[in-house]
Amino acid sequence: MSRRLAGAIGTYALLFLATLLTLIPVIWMVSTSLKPADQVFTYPVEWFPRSVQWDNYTSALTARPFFLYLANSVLQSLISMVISVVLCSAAGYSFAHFRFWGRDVMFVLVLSTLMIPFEVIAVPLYLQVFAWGWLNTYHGLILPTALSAIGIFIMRQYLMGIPADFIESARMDGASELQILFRVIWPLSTPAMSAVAIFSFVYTWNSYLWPLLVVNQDSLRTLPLGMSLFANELTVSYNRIMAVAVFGALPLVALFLALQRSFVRGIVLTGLREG
Amino acid sequence: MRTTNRFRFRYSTRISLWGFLFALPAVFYLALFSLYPMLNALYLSFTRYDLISAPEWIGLGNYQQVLTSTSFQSSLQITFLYVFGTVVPVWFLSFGIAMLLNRARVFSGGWRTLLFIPTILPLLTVTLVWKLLFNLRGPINGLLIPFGIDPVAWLSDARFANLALIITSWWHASSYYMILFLAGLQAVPVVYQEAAALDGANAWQRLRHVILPLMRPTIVLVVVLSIINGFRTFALQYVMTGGGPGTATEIVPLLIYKTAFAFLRMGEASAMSVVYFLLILVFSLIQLRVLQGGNDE
Repeated sequence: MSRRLAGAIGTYALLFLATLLTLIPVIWMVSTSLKPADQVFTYPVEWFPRSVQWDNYTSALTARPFFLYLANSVLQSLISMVISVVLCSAAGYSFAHFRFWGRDVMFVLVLSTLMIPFEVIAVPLYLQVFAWGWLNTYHGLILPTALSAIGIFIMRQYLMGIPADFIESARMDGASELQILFRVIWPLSTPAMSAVAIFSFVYTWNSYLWPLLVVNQDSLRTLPLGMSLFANELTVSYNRIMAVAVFGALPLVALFLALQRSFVRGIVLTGLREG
Repeated sequence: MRTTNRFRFRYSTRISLWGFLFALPAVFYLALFSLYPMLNALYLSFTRYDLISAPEWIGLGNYQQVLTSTSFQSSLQITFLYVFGTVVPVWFLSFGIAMLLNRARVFSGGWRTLLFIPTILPLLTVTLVWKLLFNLRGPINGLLIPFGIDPVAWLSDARFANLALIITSWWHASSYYMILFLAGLQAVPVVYQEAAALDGANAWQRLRHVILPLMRPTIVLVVVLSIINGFRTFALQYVMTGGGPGTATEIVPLLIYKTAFAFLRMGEASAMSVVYFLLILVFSLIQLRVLQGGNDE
């Protein structure tokens, strides 16, 4: 019994340690974002602001058009998400429940793109978009990276678990193929669709290399680009950099709090991220 | 009889056509923005191209250049150091934390949410925070001073910059793979462990002979994914060190980026991309072979 107690104490002690190490950088970030400039680097380390300075946020967020960057990121992530969900659900449904000429070839093509890391095609993709005159445009920013084959794969796996009878009986009832997709398949696959949606949103939100290549006009910059530009300005004080770091994290934190369960499932199902 | 047959034929062709139409947009999309660029990378890798004059065919010249250049070799070394320096500890950390979480009964949802925080934070937030934590006057040095360790210029000293990036990735990635491991652990039926415990198996034996074999699919997933994700690093180095000091932290994606967009050598950058792609591909295939090969025991 005492061995078991010791084991429990050890478990919680280690958990506490891991949580502490996880939280320290976060606490330091939030605290520094509220500190006066002369309190950022002190020795010994001061963990909490002497006086809370909310205007770090106002001065940081007005120093560059951060709300415009935010709007661009939201637009980029939302459109990518819609494209992903619509195209992946249709293609996943097709690969799971239809037989047609060329299906297997098409599926192998899709799977093979899973093997291509984006960093490897960045240069030719840039040249392609450059040749089309898509640099510094919203479609150039958003469209080329909107779709990932992983979403198709997930939808297919999920939809293979749905009995063909459901689809067949909907056909017998006179539903058109589009109606079946929207009224039968979509409602039945919400867990997989939300996983694809969340994956796509978060993945796009974190994208850095592609926006860096195609956008150099300030009005089109996304939040990650704006954040790193701001942080590299020599005159910027560190407390304001942390204010921007917190600002950049808020949308994803809000998304997580709103959709905790699907968020975790999305990660477990997709298992891909950048960085 | 004939009419029903013909009706059937048309009916099934029509359905097949719909199937084709449902798949087509996504396949076309990926062909346009993924496969075609990949083929283009292959083509460009045999040319000299500076964006100004048209691509000029030079055969294997770029490959010769890339494979013999010291900058590519050292960049590969830095990349391997980063990838394996990151992923190996991360496997153990994330698995260990997942085991702890799986065992905790008190406040279990709370621990999980708190430990999950690094995964929710955007990569750019993480890089900006750690850049400051590693500042010469920053809190990490501040915490080391009482132990008699002199302040270190983590990000601008070639001896420490890679370590600093790796530590940042430990923090960021452990949280993420912990979730994958936790999902895998929760799928291991508790009765198996209890049965093994009744048979007198100690904690280590239960881990070795019950949990790990049942977790094999998750372990394979985490190993393969973490390595691929490691090879895909870019923003972390770009923002935290810019590849420096000098080229001390210049991972291959960053070298490709600089070759293409700072030196406008698109052909050479494409050759690097192709070599890097093949390397990652071979690596992934070997891993899958090795990790799944022992499956039949």
